[in-house]
Amino acid sequence: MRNCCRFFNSSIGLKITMALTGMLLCGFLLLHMLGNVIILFSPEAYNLYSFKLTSNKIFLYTAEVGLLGLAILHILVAIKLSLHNRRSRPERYQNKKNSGLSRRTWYSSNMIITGGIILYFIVTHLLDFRFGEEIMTVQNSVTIRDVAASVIGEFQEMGDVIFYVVAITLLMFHILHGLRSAFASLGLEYPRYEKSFNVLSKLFVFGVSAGFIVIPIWIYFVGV
Amino acid sequence: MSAQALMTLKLRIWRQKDAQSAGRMEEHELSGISEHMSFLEMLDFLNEKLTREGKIPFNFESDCREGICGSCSLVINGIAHGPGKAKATCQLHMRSFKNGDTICIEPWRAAAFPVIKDLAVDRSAFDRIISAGGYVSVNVGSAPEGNSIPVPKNVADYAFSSATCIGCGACVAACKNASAMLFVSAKVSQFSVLPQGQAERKSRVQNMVAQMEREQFGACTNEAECSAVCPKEIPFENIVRLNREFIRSNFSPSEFE
Amino acid sequence: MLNLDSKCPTGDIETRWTRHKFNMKLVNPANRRKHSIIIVGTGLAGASAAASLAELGYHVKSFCYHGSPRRAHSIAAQGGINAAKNYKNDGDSIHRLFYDTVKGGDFRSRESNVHRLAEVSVNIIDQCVAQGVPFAREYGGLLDNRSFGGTQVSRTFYARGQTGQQLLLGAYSSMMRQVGLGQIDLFTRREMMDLVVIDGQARGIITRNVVTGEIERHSADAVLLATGGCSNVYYLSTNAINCNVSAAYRCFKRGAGFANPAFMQIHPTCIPVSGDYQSKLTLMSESLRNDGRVWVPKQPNDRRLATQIPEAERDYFLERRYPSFGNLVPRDVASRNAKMVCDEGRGVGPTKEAVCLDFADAIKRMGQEKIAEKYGNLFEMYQRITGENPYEVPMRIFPAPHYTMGGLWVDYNLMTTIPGLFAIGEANFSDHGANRLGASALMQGLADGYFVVPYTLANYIASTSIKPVSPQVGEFSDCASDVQKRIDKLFAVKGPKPTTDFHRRLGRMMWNDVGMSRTKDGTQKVIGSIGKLRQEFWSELRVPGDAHNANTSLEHAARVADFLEFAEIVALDANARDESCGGHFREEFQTPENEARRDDEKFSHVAVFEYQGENKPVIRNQEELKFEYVKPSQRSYK
Repeated sequence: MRNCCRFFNSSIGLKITMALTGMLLCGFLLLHMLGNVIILFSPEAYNLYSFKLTSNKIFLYTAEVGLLGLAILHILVAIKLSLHNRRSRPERYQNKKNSGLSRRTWYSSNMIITGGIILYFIVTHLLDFRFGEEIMTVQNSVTIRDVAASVIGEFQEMGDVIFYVVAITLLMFHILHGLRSAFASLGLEYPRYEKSFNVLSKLFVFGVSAGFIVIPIWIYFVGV
Repeated sequence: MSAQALMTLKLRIWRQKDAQSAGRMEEHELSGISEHMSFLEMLDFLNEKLTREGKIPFNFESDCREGICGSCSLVINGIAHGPGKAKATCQLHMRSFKNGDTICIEPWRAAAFPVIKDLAVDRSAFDRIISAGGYVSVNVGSAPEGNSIPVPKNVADYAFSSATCIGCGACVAACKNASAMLFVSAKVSQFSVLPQGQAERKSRVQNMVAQMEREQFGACTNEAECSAVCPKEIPFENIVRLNREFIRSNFSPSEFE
Repeated sequence: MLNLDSKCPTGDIETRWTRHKFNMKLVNPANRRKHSIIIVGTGLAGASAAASLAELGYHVKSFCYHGSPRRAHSIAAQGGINAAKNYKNDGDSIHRLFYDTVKGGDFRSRESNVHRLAEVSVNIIDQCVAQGVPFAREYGGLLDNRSFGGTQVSRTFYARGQTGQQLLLGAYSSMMRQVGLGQIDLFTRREMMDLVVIDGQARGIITRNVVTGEIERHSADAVLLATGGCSNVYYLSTNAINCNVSAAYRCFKRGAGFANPAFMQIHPTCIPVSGDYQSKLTLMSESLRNDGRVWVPKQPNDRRLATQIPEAERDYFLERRYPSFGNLVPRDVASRNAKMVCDEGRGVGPTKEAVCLDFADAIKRMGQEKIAEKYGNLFEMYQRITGENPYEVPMRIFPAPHYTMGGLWVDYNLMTTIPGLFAIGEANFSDHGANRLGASALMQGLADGYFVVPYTLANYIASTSIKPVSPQVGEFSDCASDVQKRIDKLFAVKGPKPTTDFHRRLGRMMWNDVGMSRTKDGTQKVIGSIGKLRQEFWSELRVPGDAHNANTSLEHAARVADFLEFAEIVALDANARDESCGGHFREEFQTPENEARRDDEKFSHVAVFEYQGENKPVIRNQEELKFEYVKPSQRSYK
């Protein structure tokens, strides 16, 4: 136990925590995205999927608490690390440039900012859908929540669509660095596989983000 | 040889009396600079001029002036060791600059590297990290015959590429978090791949990382700015290896503990 | 008169060291921690001595002027380290290494010392391998060797072109382990300002903390000096810019004999000076001469670019004069010949003080790729410094001061003429005679630190009555106030000129008259010029700032003040040694073929200088050398 404490208190341990929580949240993103795109094919199927997902309350609450836990841990550790990193350089450079020869990008160096915006997005997102108004509908003689209606209703306003797309784009950049970084923090990046790994993780990131982004745009411009 | 044109440069250099005092940038115009001068010779030239004028020269560190002792530092125009790849400041020459350029010169900045004076910083934190575990415990006299420890060529070459670190601290200076992961990982990597390092493999990484934390270095964000400015081009994969070694040292089961 | 008893054991040379070790007294393990030892310098010799003495249980105090012990200039050694392992089965042995070293030193070293060096060379490799030094390996995983510096056997162990770095980091890591264990108190950023001698024994040092300016006193039972060489007396050398003679020179002034100051090694393959602003010279590995051809134009004052000079108008002077060794003649011969052709006005480049090292033939023969594979990093380094591409235009090279074979006189136990003061590594004089062979400096530094001084120092401690001493006693106070006065004196001059001005001029004088070739007249005259320069220094120097915080100008001024005195001793020795041997070439003493002519009748001795006091002439003492196992012969590379 003491070992564990020491491990997670070191900066490497904290980075590993970031990596693990981040990767699990990425896994959730994938499932969430796959579930969401159902709406494009059939709003009814989407409602049914949502009903099945939420009908087992034990599963639901466990999953929700788990996700919440992961997110909180991810955020708290991020804050702790950011503060720690700030203290590591109390006097800033007057003139500092990137070498231009590394992996550093605007998004890799602003993870805490993209993260903050994503957090704001998630909160509004939860208020809209998880805790928002529940429209009911009857499908196959069962009364269930018409989540599809809420989603479609949400994306009738151009402003909402833009906000959503921007948020997902930021999320994309966030995990673009985050995922690769997670593999490094977990010691899983091997030079021999680095290239294929990089391609795979990019496919994942672009795939997931495209899945999310397509939904509001489709709904706004085409409708379902 | 064509007659070389001499350059005039505007220099903005950090001036700080000692660790306690506040610092500021000071501007100097310097002419008569040959493109064949090394960057440090240009600073020598400035210092000589200041001395003749009865002013105080700038303090900066250097010793071997051939890129191996790791004494020289300087963030030049925002880049640790200045423009170009795989060289220390002492190996930078003035032909990398143009007549009329403004050059901004700052010290390494990190909580773990307090400024001693002007451009010189105290990097003894690195020594304390080494003394926490960056060695193989072998007393003089007890070494076995050299060839009784065979090391495959590729392993020896790999160990060398990590061991080539000169301890200059550019990795810390360039990192946005002032992290020392590249320095620590280079030493950990060297010994974790060599047979000589196996006996202390776990304790070494534990102790070195613990000391690194105590020295107030930041955390790694895996952006590899460190490797990009490293005079010896120590690869980022060392950091990945350090992470792996750190996990291994904490969680791999051992029946002897 | 100094007592110059070398205390060398007699009898069969192969068992001298073994018998000597047995005859020396030991210190009880429980008592060792009661003895403190000061070690100044943290290069190969200093770091290895600190580590091994601390491992034995002594209380070690280690000092260096750098911010970290790892920055000592041993780190810059490129080529390798010799050891008589005979891994290549090519007929090497301890005796052959011994023989080569005595002969290479032009018969001006002690046989006993050199044999011991050859003996322990094999243990050094074992120790370094165990520390995790990543030596070059063969595919089977065993240690690789190469031939180096013109020897006929492959006995050089190496780690790419950074052998010194890897060996030093090995010694440094062992030392830092002891720092962590509390066995070594590490004092970085300390300049040794003086030696404290009490009742005839070395009992401490005075240091200046170069960050705070504080003058500090440190006492101990013995003092080890591992402060390296003093090639910077020439201003431009391959040494690090802070290398200095001050610590050794202070000991000299406190009564330690200084041996063979005239024996300076000039390395032939350095990048030439490009202008007055130059602060140091960069060495390029000697291995370049394996494939490069050295030439100059046949006509003096040829202003054409090297590539425009046709083949017929080039003089490949080494190949012409030494048909059998060609471009691979030893360091001193190659250096001297380069100087000779430049003196004839046939040098190349803007300063006319350089010769071409041409790879055009090698590139034609082997292809650029092969050359890049062999020398890529050196070519890159050359291009970075000069801005010229050596694949297209010939390199320009010129000799530069590199190593000082001379140093504090020590006996077989590495103790100087002051009891309790030991000198190890380049700081002493003992093993290389008049010329050091390639890859032998690393060997000697580590031999002294790991395997010699731990025994001999124990013997000194065990067989000497050493009374406890406090750093508050009168001798310490006197010494500290001397130091303070010297510092005050430097500030008090308040002239117009920076130190570099004087250092540069001193270097020029030394290079011209006490450099690669010397004459009776030249060395005589330069003594006068040095005296004048010294006077000027003390009336026109400006040291900016104050002594109460970091002030590199002050450090430099104090060092140059010592160089200005030391230079005179170098010139005196060069003047008195009426022969040519190794790194000391006197133009009057050469064979008809312009080779060095030794005078074994009169000069088969170590010259040991003794300080007599302010304004009194120094005395040149002699320690006779006897050769029982290697018969002196004339070197020939024709």
